[in-house]
Amino acid sequence: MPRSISSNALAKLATQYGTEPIVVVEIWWNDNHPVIGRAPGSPPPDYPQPRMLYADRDIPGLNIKGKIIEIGGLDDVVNVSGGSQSQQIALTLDDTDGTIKKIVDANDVHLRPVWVYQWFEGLDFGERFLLFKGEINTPLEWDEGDRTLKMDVVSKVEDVEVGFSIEEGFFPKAPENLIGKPWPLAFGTVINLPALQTKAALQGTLAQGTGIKDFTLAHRMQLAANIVCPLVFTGWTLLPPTLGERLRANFVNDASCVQQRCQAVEELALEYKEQSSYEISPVKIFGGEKFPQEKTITIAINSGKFIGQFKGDLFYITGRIHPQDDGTGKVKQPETPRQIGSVCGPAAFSVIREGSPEDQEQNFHPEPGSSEAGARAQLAIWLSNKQSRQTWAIFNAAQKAGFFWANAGDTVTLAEQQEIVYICNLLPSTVLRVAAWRELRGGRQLLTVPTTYYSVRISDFHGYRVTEVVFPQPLTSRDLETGGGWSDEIFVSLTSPVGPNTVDILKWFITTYTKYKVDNASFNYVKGRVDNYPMHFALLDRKDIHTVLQEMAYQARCALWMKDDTFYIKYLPEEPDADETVNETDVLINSLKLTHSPTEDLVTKYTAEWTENYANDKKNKIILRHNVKKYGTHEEVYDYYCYNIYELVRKSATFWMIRKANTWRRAIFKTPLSKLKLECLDTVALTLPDIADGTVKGIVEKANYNSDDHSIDFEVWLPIKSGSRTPYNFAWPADIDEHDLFPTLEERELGLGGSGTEPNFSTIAPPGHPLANPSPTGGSISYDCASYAFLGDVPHDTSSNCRPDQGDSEPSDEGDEKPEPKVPNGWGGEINTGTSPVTIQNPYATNPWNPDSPEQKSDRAEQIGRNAQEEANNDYDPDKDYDPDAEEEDPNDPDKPYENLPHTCGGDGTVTVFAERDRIQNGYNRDGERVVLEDDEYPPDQSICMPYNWAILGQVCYTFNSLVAAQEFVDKKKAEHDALLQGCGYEKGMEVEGFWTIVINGTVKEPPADQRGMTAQKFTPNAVTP
Amino acid sequence: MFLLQAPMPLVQTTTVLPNPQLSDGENNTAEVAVQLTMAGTRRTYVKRKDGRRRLLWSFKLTRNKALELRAFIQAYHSSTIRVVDHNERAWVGNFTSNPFEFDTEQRAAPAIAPLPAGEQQAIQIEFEGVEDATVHIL
Repeated sequence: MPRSISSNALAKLATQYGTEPIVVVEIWWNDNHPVIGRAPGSPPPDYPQPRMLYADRDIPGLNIKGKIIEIGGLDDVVNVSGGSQSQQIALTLDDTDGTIKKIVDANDVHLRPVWVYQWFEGLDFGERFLLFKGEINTPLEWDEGDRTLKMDVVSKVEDVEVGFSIEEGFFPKAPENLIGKPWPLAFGTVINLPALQTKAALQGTLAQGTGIKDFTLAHRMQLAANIVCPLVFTGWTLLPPTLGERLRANFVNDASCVQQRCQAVEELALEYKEQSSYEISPVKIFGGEKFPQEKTITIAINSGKFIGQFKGDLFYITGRIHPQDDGTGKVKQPETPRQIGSVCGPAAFSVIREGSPEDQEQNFHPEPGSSEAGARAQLAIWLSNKQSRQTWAIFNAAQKAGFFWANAGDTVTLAEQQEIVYICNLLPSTVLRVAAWRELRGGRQLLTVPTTYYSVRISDFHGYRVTEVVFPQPLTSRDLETGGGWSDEIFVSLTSPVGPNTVDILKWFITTYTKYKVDNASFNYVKGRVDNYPMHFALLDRKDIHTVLQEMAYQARCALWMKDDTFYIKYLPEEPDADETVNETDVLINSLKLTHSPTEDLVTKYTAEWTENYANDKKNKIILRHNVKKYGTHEEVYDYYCYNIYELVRKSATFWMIRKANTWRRAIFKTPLSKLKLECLDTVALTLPDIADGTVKGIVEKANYNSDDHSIDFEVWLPIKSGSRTPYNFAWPADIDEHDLFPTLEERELGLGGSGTEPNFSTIAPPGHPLANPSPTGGSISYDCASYAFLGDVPHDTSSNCRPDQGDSEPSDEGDEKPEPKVPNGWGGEINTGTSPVTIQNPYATNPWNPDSPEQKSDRAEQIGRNAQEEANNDYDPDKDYDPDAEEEDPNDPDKPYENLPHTCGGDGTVTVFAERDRIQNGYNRDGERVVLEDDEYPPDQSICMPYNWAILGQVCYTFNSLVAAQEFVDKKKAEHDALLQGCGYEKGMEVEGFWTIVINGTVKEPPADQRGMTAQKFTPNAVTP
Repeated sequence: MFLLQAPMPLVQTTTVLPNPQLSDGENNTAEVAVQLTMAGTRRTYVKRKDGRRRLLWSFKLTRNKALELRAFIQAYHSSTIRVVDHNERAWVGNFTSNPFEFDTEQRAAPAIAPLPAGEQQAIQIEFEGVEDATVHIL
């Protein structure tokens, strides 16, 4: 951005003769005018001491003394993206009258603000313009001999660490393990961000186990004691006639029932006694002395709570709260209802369901022909059976809580601090997925954590609104019945409210962590230019603000600089408009030099490291080479941590490789003050025949104002390669033709693209080799790459990138589209929110991956039974009728040429889903008619109903814990696909069969049978149970 | 006649000197920077000094007058002084000579009793100041 200079001042600058430039320095010597909160750069309304103005000569009318003895070269632009953090000048003031010494004696002038202005005699003093702004730095010397004060004035981007760690805030007794640990700071949509686990400030470790008995035991003992046993008829007693009745039936309680009741009571009593014996108190807790002493408190161990008092590291337990206790003495989650039925009634009696008509007394009918006494006896037995059935039912249905046991080594916290909190982002974000490593059958897989295991909340930490994932109990204690294996380290995929536009993120950093402003005009313009290149990243360590801004700007291919406390930004790939022109009438004689970019700046092998997924330990790499044959190998490695999408990394890395792998022309010259408007990073149009043909734009890399001789030293980068006099097409690639090929044909023929050195350059995999580029036409090289596989060949398809180390073959921004990061299980709605593909359907499966295991066979048998039932109910879907004994499909069937595609996800429990190219070649239209299109021909209607191109673009791997779960997922996709086809007018089932799943632009489809595009070796339809 | 008066503005001391020798100097302190471009265009930048002049005078003095001048210099070398030169132009400014050197070039005779006999001394004085048009010439 050129200097803002008034028209009168510009007229002065343009005046050819007799101009009198005067440098004026303004210093605020003390804190009467605090730095914080002032409008940067704005001079005070008046100039009483200790605000002082000094000039390089007396200005009597303004009462400004000519005390400036010497002032160094002035350049106020701090080129942040260029690695510069500060600019400085040396200033020497005359103090023969001792006035400055008096100020220095009375004030700490270190880091006081200084402005350096340019003014012209005859101009209104308000029309002076700023040359430099900084603060007084050492060396700060008052010299008795010279009677001078010498100082450095520095303009600097202050070092401030971005992000947060707990020791910076107000956290009494902060957990030791969190000291110095940065809290994640994420922008855009990040994938598998490792969340920071926080632990309670007060924490101990259980030294010995203790338990909590099942609080339902006493109640169940009572129920057992109340069980009524059925009566058994033992005979008649003949009564004396005086009693009215002659016969009385005799009964005894069923002996088997009495024994079972007795056994139940005894077992419960024994259980009660045993469990009570494990309610150990006191218990030793390592670190217990840090807890409140001799005060009744409640501590939590896993999900159990214990009430008592600490005395040293011993905790004396006076009360225990079982994890299943809902607070009213009932169990929180009732167990699965059980069938009610007496187990000890006489076998002659069939099971009568509670509440059934047979259970009603009025429906009791004695056996025909029974006497009155016999009928009464039968009724008595019937009633006793009913009571027995009811009391046994009540006893059996009584809820059980189970015995809770806290192991030695378990973590002890105060009950109110029990929850386990994971810090996910310093910004309030939307959590898309929580994942954790799980060890299953010796394998370690990153799996989605069921949403029922945690909650997401936004906590206001006064300054940050932090996204947290809260677990009520450790993840390691989950799913123990199905193998456990969860790790406590979680990975969160989330979307931050800031970003993904680079400019938004830069603005957030600047406004959050610095006192500086941003230039809205330049920031808003660049925001539009970089919108297609979103940044999705997280800062997991604490960098200083200068480093963060520099690295972000670099990765976004932007220049970022600060002057006068304001940040400016420029999009480097774009050819900028000229801010000023320079020709031979402006360049001072004997000052023009043609030079080149430094040899030490050459980079011919450029390695870009990047991360798509923070759960991966190793970074991905993109290695680019250019001009190796010409300059040799000069290597640089750069971490593109701001991008998590391959194409964006390659785009930016290609740009910088072009800039770094070439030697560029540079012009050095001096001009008079007439070009004082130009500053560093401005664009200048040079018309200098000694440098280039015609007029060429360049970027000012240095603009140093010498106040002593009223000249400006310029260094200008030119988009002209060494050995040439015209601009290089790819120096500013943003707006060139979309299909302009990089490296150019000339460069390719000279071997300058990629490594260019033999024998490496021409090395290629033999046909049929796994490393050969797969081609749908059956060759080893795709049709895109075949024509220029060897040195010197010319490609006919510029969209291909067959040589990875040549970079993006089309560096232009034209035609670029904004990509989105691929969030596992959250992308394209493939998995509904809250639905985990790892749902375990068969918790009893001990061998979930063996189709021949008894458990799997049992499951299949059950499913077949259900199918039969559905069929009987006329609700049978033949598509679900999977015969486990049917032969598997022949993978070598010539009618299914794509069955041989490798199942690359690998390992048990994985399903490969292939993504299809969205260019449609053959398929069926809405009327179900076969449509065959020529290459590159697009159908008129590209609706989602138009199937299916067989070209495979990519694959997505899904991981499941069991065959059943995997098949459930496939079934779900199939159902969605059926709905899709029905919505498009296809007859359900006519063209669709099998379980093949394809993802096209996020929409799940299935191909017709003759165009299947995938195979999943472990999950062929006949090998799994639905 | 040549007058030196100090301190300014409330003059306490006046020294009368003979006219300076020929070849006295008067220089403008203002600067002009001339710049020439490749195309032959000239640009000039000036640094005015608000009429400040750099003046140079050489005196030949008797021993006694030289002592008087030395006493004046010792008393007022750091003060603003007024000079009324042999052309009756008044200047206000400061001595810029460093050091003040009195050279004894030759004997001076005859002596006038009771003054010491003696010597003729030469001194060159540099002075920088502005012309004071308002001063009343004594």
